[in-house]
Amino acid sequence: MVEVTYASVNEDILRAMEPPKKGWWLVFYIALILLAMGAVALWYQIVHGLEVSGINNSIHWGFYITNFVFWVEIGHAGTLISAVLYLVRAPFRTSVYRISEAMTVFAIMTAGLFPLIHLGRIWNFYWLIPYPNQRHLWVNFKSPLLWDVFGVATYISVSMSFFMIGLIPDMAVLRDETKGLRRFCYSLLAFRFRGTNHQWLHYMRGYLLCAAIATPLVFSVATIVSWDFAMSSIPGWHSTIFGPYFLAGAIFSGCAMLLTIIIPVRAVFPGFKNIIKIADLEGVAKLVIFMGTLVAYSYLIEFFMAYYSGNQFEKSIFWFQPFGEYKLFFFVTIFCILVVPLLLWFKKVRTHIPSLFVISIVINIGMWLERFNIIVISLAHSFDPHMWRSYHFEWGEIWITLGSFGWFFMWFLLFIKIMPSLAICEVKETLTPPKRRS
Amino acid sequence: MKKGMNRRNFFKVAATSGAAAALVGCTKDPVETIIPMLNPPTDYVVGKPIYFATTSEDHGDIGIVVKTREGRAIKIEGNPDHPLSQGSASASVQAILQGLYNPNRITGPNEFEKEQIKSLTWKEAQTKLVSKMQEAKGSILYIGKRRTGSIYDLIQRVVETMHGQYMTLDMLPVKSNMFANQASFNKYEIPEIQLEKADLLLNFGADFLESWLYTEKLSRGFAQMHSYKQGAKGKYIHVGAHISQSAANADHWFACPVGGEVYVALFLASSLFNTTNKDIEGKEEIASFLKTYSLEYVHNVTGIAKQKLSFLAKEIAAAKRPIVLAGGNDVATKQADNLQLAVNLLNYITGAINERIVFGADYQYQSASLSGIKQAFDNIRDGKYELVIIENVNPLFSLPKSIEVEKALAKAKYVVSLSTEQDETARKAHLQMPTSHFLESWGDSFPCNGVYSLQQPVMAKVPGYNTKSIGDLMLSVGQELDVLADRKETNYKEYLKTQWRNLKLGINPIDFESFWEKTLQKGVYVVPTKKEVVSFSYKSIFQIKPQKLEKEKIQLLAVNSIFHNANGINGNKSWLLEAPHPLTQLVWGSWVEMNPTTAKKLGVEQGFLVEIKTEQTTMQVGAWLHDGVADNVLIMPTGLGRNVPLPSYISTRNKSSFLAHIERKYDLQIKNQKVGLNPMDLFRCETTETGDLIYARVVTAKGTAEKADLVSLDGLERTDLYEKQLNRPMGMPDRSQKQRDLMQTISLSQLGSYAKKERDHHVRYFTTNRQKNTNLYNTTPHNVEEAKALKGENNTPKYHSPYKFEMLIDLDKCSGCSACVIACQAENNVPVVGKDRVATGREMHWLRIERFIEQDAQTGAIEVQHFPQMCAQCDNAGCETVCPVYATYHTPDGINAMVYNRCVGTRYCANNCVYKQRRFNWRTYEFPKPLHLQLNPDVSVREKGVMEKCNFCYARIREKQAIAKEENRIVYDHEIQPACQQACGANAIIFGNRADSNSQLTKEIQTTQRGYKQLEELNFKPAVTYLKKVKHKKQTYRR
Repeated sequence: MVEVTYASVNEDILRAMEPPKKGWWLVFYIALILLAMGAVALWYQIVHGLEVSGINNSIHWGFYITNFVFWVEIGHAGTLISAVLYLVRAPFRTSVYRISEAMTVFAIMTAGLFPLIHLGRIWNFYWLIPYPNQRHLWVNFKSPLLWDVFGVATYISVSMSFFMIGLIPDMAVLRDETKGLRRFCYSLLAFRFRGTNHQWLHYMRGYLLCAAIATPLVFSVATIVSWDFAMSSIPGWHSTIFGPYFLAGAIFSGCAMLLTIIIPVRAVFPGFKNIIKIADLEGVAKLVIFMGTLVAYSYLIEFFMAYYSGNQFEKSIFWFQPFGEYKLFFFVTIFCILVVPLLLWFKKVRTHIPSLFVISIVINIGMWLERFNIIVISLAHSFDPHMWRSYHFEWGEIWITLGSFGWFFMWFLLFIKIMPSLAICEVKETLTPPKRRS
Repeated sequence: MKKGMNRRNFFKVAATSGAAAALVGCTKDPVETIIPMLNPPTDYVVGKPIYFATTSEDHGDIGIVVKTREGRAIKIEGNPDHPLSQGSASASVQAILQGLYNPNRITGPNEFEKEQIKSLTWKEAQTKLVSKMQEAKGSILYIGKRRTGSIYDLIQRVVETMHGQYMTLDMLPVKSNMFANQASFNKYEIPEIQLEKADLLLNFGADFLESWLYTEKLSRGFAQMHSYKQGAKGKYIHVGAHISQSAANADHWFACPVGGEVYVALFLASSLFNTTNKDIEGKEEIASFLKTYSLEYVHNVTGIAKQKLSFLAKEIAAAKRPIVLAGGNDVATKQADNLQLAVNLLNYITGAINERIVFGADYQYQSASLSGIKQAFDNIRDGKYELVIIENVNPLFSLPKSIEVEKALAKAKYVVSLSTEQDETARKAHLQMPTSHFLESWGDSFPCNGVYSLQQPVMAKVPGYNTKSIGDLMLSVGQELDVLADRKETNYKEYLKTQWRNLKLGINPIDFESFWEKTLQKGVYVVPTKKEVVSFSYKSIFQIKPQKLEKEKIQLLAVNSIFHNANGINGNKSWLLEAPHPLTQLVWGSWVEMNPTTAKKLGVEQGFLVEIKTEQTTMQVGAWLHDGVADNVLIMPTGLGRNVPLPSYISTRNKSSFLAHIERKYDLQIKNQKVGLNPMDLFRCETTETGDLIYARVVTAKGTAEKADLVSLDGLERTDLYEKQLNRPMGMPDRSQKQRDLMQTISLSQLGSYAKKERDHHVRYFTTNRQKNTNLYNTTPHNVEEAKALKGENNTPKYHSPYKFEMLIDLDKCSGCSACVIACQAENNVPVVGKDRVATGREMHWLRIERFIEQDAQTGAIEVQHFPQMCAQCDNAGCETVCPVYATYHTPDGINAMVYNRCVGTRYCANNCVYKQRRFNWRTYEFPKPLHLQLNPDVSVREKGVMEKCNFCYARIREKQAIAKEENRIVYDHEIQPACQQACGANAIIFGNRADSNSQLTKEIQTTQRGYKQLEELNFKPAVTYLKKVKHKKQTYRR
């Protein structure tokens, strides 16, 4: 067991931030190619119209809103880990929270693209913002989509400032350890942090305040996003369970995505293995299984209530999910999010890194499909049987989805090279301070 | 380093960027003229429509009123003064504008010489025609459209003076009717059928609501007879091989094998005859003739169950004023003549003759017999004609393949086409001289005795089309040929006027000019005709020789529908191809209907291709299964299989979802695409003795394992918890409404027992008039404040004053004809999207006719239900709350307004609409030239990314409100008519002001016991009320 010291932490981080090698470039190029595909498809969609997506006259939302909800939820886990677990002083948080916060910021940046991408007239997107105008036009505050605008805008600004504030001491470390242009940039982000007691005091208070502000955002933004559906009248959407259901699902999928991205980072950078311990990953896995249980409960109670209510429209849509046109999607989803996470009940699985990696990917596939199911199946099979339609997959939305993954991973890859992927100072807080030689 | 920029650099940059900006703005915009005319004709005001009354030449000679804007025809309505239309215009009539602006119209005279097209001037072309006619004197064949006006005489005179033969071609099988009437009543005519006077309609297959005879008039009469009024309603029983859209309105449908209707009619005649005590001539002979057709015999021959036959007999005996109809493609079999004679006998026995079937009107449906046409084409092939002139008919398409029209035309010495459209036949001509569309021409028509309709040009010729009207052409050709010695008129209008002067209408010659003006304005001059009382000649029944039925063989029946008939003129109109067929809801293609038992025999499943083979050809058509077809019968629609000019939108169906498919702007062209299959390719020219084409054919059919590309606008093939049966016979889905009560029925007996009090209980909101506000500081009107205080915040009244527009739809009257759908499409610039996009669920119709097929729980009888559905303009709309940019809001008029300019296209409104009545523009749709001339300038044409939906024809509402405001009043009841209401032939749609207690709408809603709203329990407060369809007996449907 290699001993982790203050110096070794600094070294590990600096080594991670050296000019990238072939592996990084390969993944980066792939991300750029995906992003380019997404950009081409989006350009074509703007020029040509929304025909390039698979949505149609009954199913007016499809891939784009699925992606939006998917990425927003991934963001929630990050904030939960950095803010909420900070407030409750969870021990496993320290080594993973920087990456999770970064994941939040980039996931929200990705998610924020989709309300724009799915617009029919994207060039008029600014009408969603209540800007002062000569014609006294207001936006409609009763609309859940507008709550989204405010919610996501608040979330991204708060997350970014939280991220920036948390980075200050680490930026100071980097500023001190680098030279030239890099030193200049890091010094901008370090805001003249010198490490004095006074500054530490203010910094800790500020960070605590930000954590406290960010905490309710997790719950509120998840609920707002879920109310895009719950506030409508379609059977399958119009249900009060959506708020807590989406919140649990958010943490569930977000923690799984965190595992997916942190395990390769941990494996690739030497030294990270000693800092991001297996126990920390196990902590995240425990969070995953806890939230997974909540999601399973929500699923079961939804089906039960559909039957118990006797409402023919509810019963019909919940029968249609497992027995109708989309039953393949339904059963894959059930397998991925209800059956596979059960393996995490076993400690052997929770502490076995490759299994965690695979399970987390499966969970994310399942959660993406789950959003897809909720959106598409409920719309496909609503009140009027004459208007039951089928979804079909189009190249435009597939490319844009791939593009969103490309966008996210591009930012993430840039992050692990430019910024510290470990919270240097907080990790050092858990270590014994070096003795000064007198 | 000095910070910032010095003055010189600043000016450099500013000047350069300013100049660059100015240059960008210097590109030349295309020059557009807003007002096209400096000196417009009188009455031409930009922005104000002019209405012209004229007569349609297609789909019956009915009077229409054409709305024109800036010299372009944009909408067709029925002429309320015309006895044949009475204000309604069916779907085909609405779509006439697509014929006027058809991109396939011939642009000018053309000559084809050795594969080269040479365009000619009219002078050259006419000279050529005249010289050819002179050369070919004595051996000219002219085949033209069926016409009833002065033009018929003119053409006949010109052709026959040149010793040629003039034939008119119309595929409608009416000869058997007329010959039977001649035999039975000594009157070779189509009588007037007064359905409104009947209380029982027994129909042997006639598609009287679709394409048979004067459908608008019959539709109105039927609506009057069959709809509920004053506690009673008429009954309609349909006996035939399949449930057509007409039969879908029947109270009972009895499946009958092809050709078996004559046995049923004779059985009914026999059973009635035994009970009637009429003093009929030849009683004993008739009785002994009818004795063979007993219940047992007819049951054995046709296979119809005995209790069904006795039920029929009982019904017709119990009816006080029955009427029996027969005709159309469904019964155009070898037995057609026999059937007509039997039906005449039946009508005579029941006393319908001279009461409800009235002679004297002599409706003109004369055309050449099909055997004569066949002979003519054989003669062409044998070279007997030097010159063949074909005008506005399409024999290459509409005639059976065995006549081999293509070969004949190829062999013909010289073929001249006078058709307006570049159809299949015109392409084979040596010389094309395109005549104008009837909307651009003068003419007249005499559809029946006593009705004199005028036809006038409603606009100048469509720009870019150098055509001449048929009247002008014939007149000048005749004058050049020197066959019209006495007619020196220079144009056809003068010719017409002279004809009308000589019509012997009892008009004083001095008053003729004012009479002419008045008739032009009205469109028609009606002289009441005396009915001619006829007597029945009993000897006619001995001509009835019913033949053996071929029940065990598979027979194909080529049927007409509301959109398409065998003449095929609607086959290239995109509106009618995209409008869902009222029964099958299929679009953009052909299909073949059969029942599951037949499907099992052939080994084909729902949605798969069935291969149909005759000696003429083999074709593969998709199978559409339903229980409304008799055994061993295949039903295929006529009129499809033509080339349609469509934009070449990119299609991604059946292509990889991972590869990019990009449509470039310059890829988009208007191309002709073949849509559907023509059943006439399978037929040979078999005619009845009277000369009608036989539309039934024995075929060999077998199922294939290939999936057909049947595109349906109903989503009912998907499974549901409430599906009636979990196993689908041969893949036929359950097409019921899955117990959702969107369509509700009520029986006559229940109507008496409903208490009015029970209905008031369901009124959950109220409207109140907004009184004028005199308080500067409080904008809420005084009475609204009071009402709020009384009823509480949650029950704030919606104040609509003085208008709150609502709609009432009487389901008892709606026959599913879809005229409203086409009218809405014409009025509101709704684009056509094409087969691919309808298949992916992106149709654009604002108004749809939903069709469900329910089954009676006890008898298993099929009931086809139709109801129109459009945006319900909900008071508590789901769509309004969720639009983030307020692009949709509620007007004080009660309409849910859609602001196209504000819409960003989030589509949340469409998701939240429980009726799914919102449409999204998935791309910018094309209106191929010159169809863009049809666009209504009062309604925006939407671009991509914008939501649209029905708005109760808000442009019309605004137009009338503005007029009323100027005149300081509110609009009168029925002054505003949305396009759907105006087109409806049954008066099923009533639009009105709910805040006006004197409007018909308010009175009906307040007094009716049949009113309900769809999905009322969701509390969206829709403004569309439906009146339940009334059944004679209480219906319970199979769940």
